[in-house]
Amino acid sequence: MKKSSTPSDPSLAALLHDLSQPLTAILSNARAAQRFLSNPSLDHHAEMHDILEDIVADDKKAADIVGKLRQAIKDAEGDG
Amino acid sequence: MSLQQGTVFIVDDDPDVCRAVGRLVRGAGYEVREYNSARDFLVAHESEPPGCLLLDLSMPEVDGLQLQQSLAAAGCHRPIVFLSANGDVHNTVRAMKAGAVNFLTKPVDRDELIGALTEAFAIDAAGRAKWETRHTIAGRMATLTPRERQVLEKVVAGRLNKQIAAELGTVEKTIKVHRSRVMQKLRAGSLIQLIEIANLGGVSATHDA
Repeated sequence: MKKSSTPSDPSLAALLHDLSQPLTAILSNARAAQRFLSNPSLDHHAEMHDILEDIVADDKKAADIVGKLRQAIKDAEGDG
Repeated sequence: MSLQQGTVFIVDDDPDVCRAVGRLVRGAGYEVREYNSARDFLVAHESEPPGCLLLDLSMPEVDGLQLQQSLAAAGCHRPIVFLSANGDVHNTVRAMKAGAVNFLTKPVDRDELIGALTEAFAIDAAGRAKWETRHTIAGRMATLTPRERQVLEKVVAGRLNKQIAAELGTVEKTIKVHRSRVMQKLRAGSLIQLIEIANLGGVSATHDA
């Protein structure tokens, strides 16, 4: 790994920062869903629907950022 | 699941994160209020209701550290748990030095997050209890007459009734009456309690009466 492709590179650091946002949202949504499902007495149908919608959207966001990261690493290696 | 006493105020400029973390925290039994900027939070915030702040570090305009400073400047001691997307050592140190309860790195998992919130709630409750005690005692202290206050200061400084009488130019019997009234008004059952209450009320033994 070349030195320009470590997170000390500002653009990579920014992308890693951006990636942690959807990951946080996905994990929190999944944990919330687990909690809701463990309580079968409550009807969480609407909330579960929203949670799954959000997880899909955040996963797509994360995938988009991974694509940018891949490109940034490729660019950095090309420079070296 | 039991409902926790108090509210978790979540401030994060990413609405997806705000909503998802809000769901998780609500699922753990907490009341939740969500804000997408430090400004929105500051406009709506009242320090009365108990609870803690779950605060994103990097936000546009007013960031988490600036919000922490504004609250401190306004005399609000609501405990803060920071959430940061990068484990920035410099900012972690700054936040902790300014009194943050914890500094968590995203993506944070449930147990770590709920553990930090539980700790923050305990700190908030302890701070409020302490404030209430002081407030109650200040109220009782305010009912003392200037003379009773003088007697109290001398009692706390370790003077005997006889000495106090001499110093205030009166008789021991009068001091005894003052003293028992002070005990009643401050609701102290013993000398030790009286000294404790007086200390909390700002009268200390080092005070040279």
